[in-house]
Amino acid sequence: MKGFFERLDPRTRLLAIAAAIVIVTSTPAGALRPFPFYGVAILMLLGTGRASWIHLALRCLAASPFILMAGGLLAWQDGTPAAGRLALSVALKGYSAALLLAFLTATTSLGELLTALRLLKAPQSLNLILGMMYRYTSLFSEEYARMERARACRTVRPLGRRRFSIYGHQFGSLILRSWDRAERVHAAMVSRGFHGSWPSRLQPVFTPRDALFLAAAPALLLIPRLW
Amino acid sequence: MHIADGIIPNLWCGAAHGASWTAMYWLGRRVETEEVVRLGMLASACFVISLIHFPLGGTSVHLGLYGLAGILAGRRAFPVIFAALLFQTILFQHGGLVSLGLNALNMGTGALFAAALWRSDIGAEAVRAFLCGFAGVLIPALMIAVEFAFTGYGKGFYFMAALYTGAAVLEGILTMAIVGFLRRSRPAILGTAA
Repeated sequence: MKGFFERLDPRTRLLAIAAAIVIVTSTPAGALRPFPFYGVAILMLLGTGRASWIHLALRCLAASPFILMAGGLLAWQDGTPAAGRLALSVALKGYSAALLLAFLTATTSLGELLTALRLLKAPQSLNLILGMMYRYTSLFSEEYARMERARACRTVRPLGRRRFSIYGHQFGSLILRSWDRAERVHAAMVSRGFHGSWPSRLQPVFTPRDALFLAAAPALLLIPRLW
Repeated sequence: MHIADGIIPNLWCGAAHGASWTAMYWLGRRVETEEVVRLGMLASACFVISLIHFPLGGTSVHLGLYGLAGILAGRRAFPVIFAALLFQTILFQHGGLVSLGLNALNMGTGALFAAALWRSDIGAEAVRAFLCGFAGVLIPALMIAVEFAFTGYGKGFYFMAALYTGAAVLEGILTMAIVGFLRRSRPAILGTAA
């Protein structure tokens, strides 16, 4: 079942979350006071959708290495409490942004995001490349797994010094296959009447509800940011 | 090497977004559908390869293939890398929406340098392929180190960039092996870049 957030126009969802991330990440370094308010506002925002909390937590965990490294660098430079504050504010900003982005991707399919990007006049080449990646990455992933299995079956000794050459051949083969597939896919697309953009069943309509949400969601974060 | 949101000040990220979107439009202009399909497939294949981890000095590294993207896609490597980074941001939370421009600029610069080096015809092809792969990793690492140094994180990331030299050598060797394979099996691919 769709929540309130999922029923919004994908453009509204993308722009509202992007605005929220910009506001949170623009908090001056070392300022910790707005974060409890941000926390409440973000929880309210998350409450409008149907994202799984476990999924959101795992996504935030994926963003951890770089956030913790950046925070660690700040704290390591100068072990004073001020440096600790700075590191904490960077980590909080990083995790808040990661949580918001995870919420967007958990509630909005890539197809909807592509539609939003198209309607927001993103370059067509970007949309097409993203669409191809969405469709063919899992296929190439399976193809590579088959190649790897076949190589493992044929290899009885450790790869040793020839490992780079063997992997080079394997990766080169995958690139060749992608090249050949591109020709076939393009011919099939043209034969089906493709004229430069993905056909989409989604016809989102920007309603007053969208306008209200687009104004209210960033405002919830902007008030503590400016206060 | 994907900078997350909230790490680098928004002013820097905004400027990088401006530069990256301009490069995206400029370097992706007048692209034919056939070429876009090929770029999309190339991006998918490179993305799959970049998910494979190799053991290196007690840790593991994965390939970026920015140098190879430069060799195969030429100046179109920038739109390919921009799209691949957006894809990774959306699906895997690597990087962020605000830092997307900065990440694209860092990695796209490495790819564009590799494209220019490849087309320069200087030296033996194997050496050029190695240097393309090597520079494709080291240039982004150095750019991140500079960005961190200028935004108050000190010089700690230069140490990280030095560690990336090992990964850059590995990438250079594998790029050389891939190019060697493509030269023997389908040389036309190496000369079709825009």
